[in-house]
Amino acid sequence: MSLKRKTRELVERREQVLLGGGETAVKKQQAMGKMTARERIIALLDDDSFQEYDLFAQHEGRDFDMDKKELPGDGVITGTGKIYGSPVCIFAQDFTVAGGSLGLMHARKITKIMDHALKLKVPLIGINDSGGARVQEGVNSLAGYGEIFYRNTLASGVIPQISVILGPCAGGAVYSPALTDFVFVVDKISKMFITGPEVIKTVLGEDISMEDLGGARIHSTITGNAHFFAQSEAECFEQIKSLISYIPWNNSQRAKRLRPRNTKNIYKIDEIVPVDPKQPYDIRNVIRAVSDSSEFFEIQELFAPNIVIGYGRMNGQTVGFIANQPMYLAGVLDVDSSDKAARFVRFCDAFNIPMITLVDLPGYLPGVDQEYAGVIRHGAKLLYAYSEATVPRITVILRKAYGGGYIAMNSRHLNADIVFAWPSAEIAVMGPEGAANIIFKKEISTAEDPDKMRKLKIKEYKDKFANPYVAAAKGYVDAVIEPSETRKYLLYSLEVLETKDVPRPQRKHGCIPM
Amino acid sequence: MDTKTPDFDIFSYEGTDYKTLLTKKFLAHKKYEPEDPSRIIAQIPGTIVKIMVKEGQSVNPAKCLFIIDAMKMRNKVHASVTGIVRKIHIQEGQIVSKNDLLLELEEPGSGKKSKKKPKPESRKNTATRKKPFGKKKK
Repeated sequence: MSLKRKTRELVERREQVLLGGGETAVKKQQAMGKMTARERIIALLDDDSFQEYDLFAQHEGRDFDMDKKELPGDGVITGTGKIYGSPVCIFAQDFTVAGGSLGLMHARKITKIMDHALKLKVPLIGINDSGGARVQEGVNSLAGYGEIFYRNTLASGVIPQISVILGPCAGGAVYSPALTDFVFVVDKISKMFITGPEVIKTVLGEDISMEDLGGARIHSTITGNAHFFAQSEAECFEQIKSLISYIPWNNSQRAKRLRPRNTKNIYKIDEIVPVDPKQPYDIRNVIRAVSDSSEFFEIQELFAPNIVIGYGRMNGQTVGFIANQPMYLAGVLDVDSSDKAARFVRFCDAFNIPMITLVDLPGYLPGVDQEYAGVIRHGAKLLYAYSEATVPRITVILRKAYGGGYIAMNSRHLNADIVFAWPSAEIAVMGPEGAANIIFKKEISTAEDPDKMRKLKIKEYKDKFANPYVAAAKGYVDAVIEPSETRKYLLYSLEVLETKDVPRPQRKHGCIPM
Repeated sequence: MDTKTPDFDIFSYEGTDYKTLLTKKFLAHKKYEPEDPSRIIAQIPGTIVKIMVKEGQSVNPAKCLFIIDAMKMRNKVHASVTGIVRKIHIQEGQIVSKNDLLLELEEPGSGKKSKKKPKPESRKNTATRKKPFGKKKK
């Protein structure tokens, strides 16, 4: 056979595999409002940047007549590509081939590309759309999942790992996304759960739809398993591209630096925050008032909205923002918001992203359900995450910073590098009302007019303690600054902290209270 | 810049009233009710296989009250206190749902009726616990 003929044979073979599960299966996929695995890869990656691996992989099923079946690519497409010129490794499960089910070769293809990503030190993106384990391949499927989880764990903190849920992802399959750093979901398309509605029905007698059990909205608002919620796959891919632009390729690099830009004039920092700590405002506008181009890329927007996390840029360089949101629950810390912030802090620390913390909170959320849900254990994660972080850490206290909440929000006491306070900051054990009620309990209760006395005492406490100067006098606050100068101070501090180098004692790893 | 103002609620914290929005999760949180050991509630749906006690009989934590078949297991249910069986709400062979009231005990020295007499609200609360996210009843 001539080389020409052999090459023609290659092209023919390739064309055959590229059809995926065939026309009927593709039509079915489209009818569900979903793109095919190949369309997704093309939509996500830079034009002509995808290089596929293992196109001709053959499945390993020998029982139950599986050996008579052709499964193109064994239901998963893997390879390398680029996003905004940054290299990534990617896999996409192909639901048109045996429902994207995971057999031995399918798993091997995934672990191979994972090993590749770790070797190249580039981000890994996994698009999940699978009916689960390929039952015909039995324990080989389970082995496959386990080998993926193992690699997810080894890669954690070395390369960014992104999971995109674009179809079902149930049972053991959910744990790969759960081990990765960012999970993207799309309304009506993503479904994630450990046990499905049918099992729940038989065991517990509870009736619930797939959407209400593990739909995109549930994971974005209630469970916190998802980080980004989109209305369509196209929107989801835009979100992934934005994220990639903010994070570095691996843990030994910095995120790509863009051209520094000024903030937009519409965000006037001293007009955003009411001086009365009882009045709400949107903390995200404060972030926009200090970040380059007034851009803020929010993560987990719908989950625990009482804390805000996400990326912006300062002088062209990526910065992680963590901020209490007085708009929701006055900005309290609770189980969910502690988890959300702690995880973000650890990602920033692992990937050399400096952090800016904006503080405005009355403390921790009280309640039996909070205590029972383990707010002690969950709250401890945030303390731990901040304390162990060695990237530059800057704090700005805007208004209220009371009690344990003040300590947790990257205070000087957790070894923050620079702590700024606005003149409106109130750093105290609790709010003036609560403090006056305790300190002056006797005076108030024995007074002729207790209400008048209470007001008097609250004012007395406020005048004395509800300010940043008590903390500044002790060195807990490094500088009290004009709100309108905040960006200037932050830019300068980030520059100063460039050379920060904090050695840590040798250890295998800390024991974060999980 | 987003300038529209939402309808804020008041969130009281250590004597201070903050104007803010309340999250769905916060609003959905269950009011705490202490557990009532005199009311035996089904923890899991299943079938009552055998009832080992009669009304009026005195029981203690060592005594098995009934056996419920659930999750392919026969589960023995014991009283958590010493007392007298006041009312049995189940029959052998009956299928029960989660949170159904199965049996009521009366603790000794608590007078004629149980001191912790079931309050109407606690009943209501038990019912809402069936549907944590406010979903429709089947």
